[in-house]
Amino acid sequence: MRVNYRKIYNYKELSLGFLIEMAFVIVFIILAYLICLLMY
Amino acid sequence: MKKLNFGSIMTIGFYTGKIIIGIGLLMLIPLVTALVSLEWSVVIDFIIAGSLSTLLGLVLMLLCRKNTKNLTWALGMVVVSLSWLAYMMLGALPYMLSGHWLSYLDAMFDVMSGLTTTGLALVQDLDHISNGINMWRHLLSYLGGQGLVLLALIFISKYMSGAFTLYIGEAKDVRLLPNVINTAKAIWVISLLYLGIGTLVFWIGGLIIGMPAPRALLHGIWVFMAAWSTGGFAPQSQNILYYHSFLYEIITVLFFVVGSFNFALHHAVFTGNRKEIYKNIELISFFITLTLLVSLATFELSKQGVYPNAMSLFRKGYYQMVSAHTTTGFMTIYVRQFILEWGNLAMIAISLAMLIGGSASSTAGGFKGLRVGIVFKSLVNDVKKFLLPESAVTVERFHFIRSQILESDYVRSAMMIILLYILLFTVGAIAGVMYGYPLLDSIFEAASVTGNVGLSCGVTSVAMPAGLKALYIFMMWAARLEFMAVFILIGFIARGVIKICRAI
Repeated sequence: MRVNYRKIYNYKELSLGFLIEMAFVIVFIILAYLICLLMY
Repeated sequence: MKKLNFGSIMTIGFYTGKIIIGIGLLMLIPLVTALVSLEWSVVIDFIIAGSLSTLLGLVLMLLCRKNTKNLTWALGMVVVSLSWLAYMMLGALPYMLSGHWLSYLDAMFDVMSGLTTTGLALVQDLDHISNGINMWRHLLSYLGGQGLVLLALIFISKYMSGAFTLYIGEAKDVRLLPNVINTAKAIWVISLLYLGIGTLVFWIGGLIIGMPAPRALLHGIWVFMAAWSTGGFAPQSQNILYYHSFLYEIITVLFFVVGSFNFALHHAVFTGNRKEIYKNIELISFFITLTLLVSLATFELSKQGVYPNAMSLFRKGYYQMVSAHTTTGFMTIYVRQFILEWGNLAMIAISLAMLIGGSASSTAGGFKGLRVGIVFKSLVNDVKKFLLPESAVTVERFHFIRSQILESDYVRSAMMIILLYILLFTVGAIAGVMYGYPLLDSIFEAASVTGNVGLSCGVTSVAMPAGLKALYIFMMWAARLEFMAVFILIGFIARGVIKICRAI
């Protein structure tokens, strides 16, 4: 069965997905910095 | 494996040969890098190593092409384990020819470390290594993260059955698409997309910190490959500390944390199921354990007064902790600082983080957040049962791509894998002590090897006894394949030996 990957991963969803993953990690980096501030 | 016979051996030889040809072809990438960099001796090294590997694969295929059978579950597992060993032996050829490794064992150690995305290294004079060899080191790490056989599946799938067995053998069990071959392709689509974006971001980062454009690009490719595959190799001996840049450190954190996510999660988020990112049991488990362990470590480091302010606590303490938990192994401190400065509590926290690791079906090692989540949910369910009336029936659910009922099989399987990881870690720690290393050093290094992390407190070095190097190679290999494929290979060999002994 031939799969059209462009259809599965369209540009809009890919860009949004990438931004969401990055935003999620950035939130946790900020949280980690807050922990460091608190502990210090 | 019902019957061990000539046909089984031929089948294993045939498919292993097919996969071995792959390593010969992959050597074209560092060969081109060496050509572009005008490193003629390295070009010759890769021509020799690539030709030998391809030839060996072809010979194996031709010798074993008759009497081949369908790839059964057990035979597939044996092919996977053997392919990893073959890649280790053949991948070490360019290393040995380069003269930067003192023995073949050291070269094989570094290849296995790369393939399993561990990141421990025995290379000599890393700072003056050629671009071709550096490309090979990081490429092995990148391929190992996605899965070697997974890559081979895409090319050889048309001619074979039993593809799912090979896929499972590499400790990947999610199906992104109904067909396993398409799943393999989807995993590579995601990885290559990230390779493009990540290289660009690292390249810009390199330019900002003042690196020349071509060097920034090469470092960008390599550091991205090591970050995404949670590998931990770096082109310089000081690892990420070499860059002395907060920006570069943050970029690495972004990509190695994302790299430690399950491919099923990437697929879900990239296909519109965005809520998965905060519902997924693995991510919840990962961030709870990470927060707890980072709090413990930073508490100890603050108490000891190791770092002068919150920012250096973040750049040194948090960075090593998140690098350990995602099983990356990037470092922004010197190796002996763990033992000399970190204190017992922080060392326990980072060792635990290394053992837990990232997500299942990702590039990360460790016994994985999914299993921690499942065992925790099962514990909650058991407590609930005691608190409720005896006639009450409790059903525990967990969210992983979809809401699923927590069945006893999941719990049993999770417990078994965690137990095996702990056993392997214990063996490594005891071996370290037996070879004369202090207890804390041995525990730390064993956790790093078992979790395929790559952080080191100084045990891993060229001067390390050969027996310990061999044991660490076995530990990295078994942990990466999550034991089953390795056990089946051992069983296969044992049955063969018994059969020969009986015949004699």
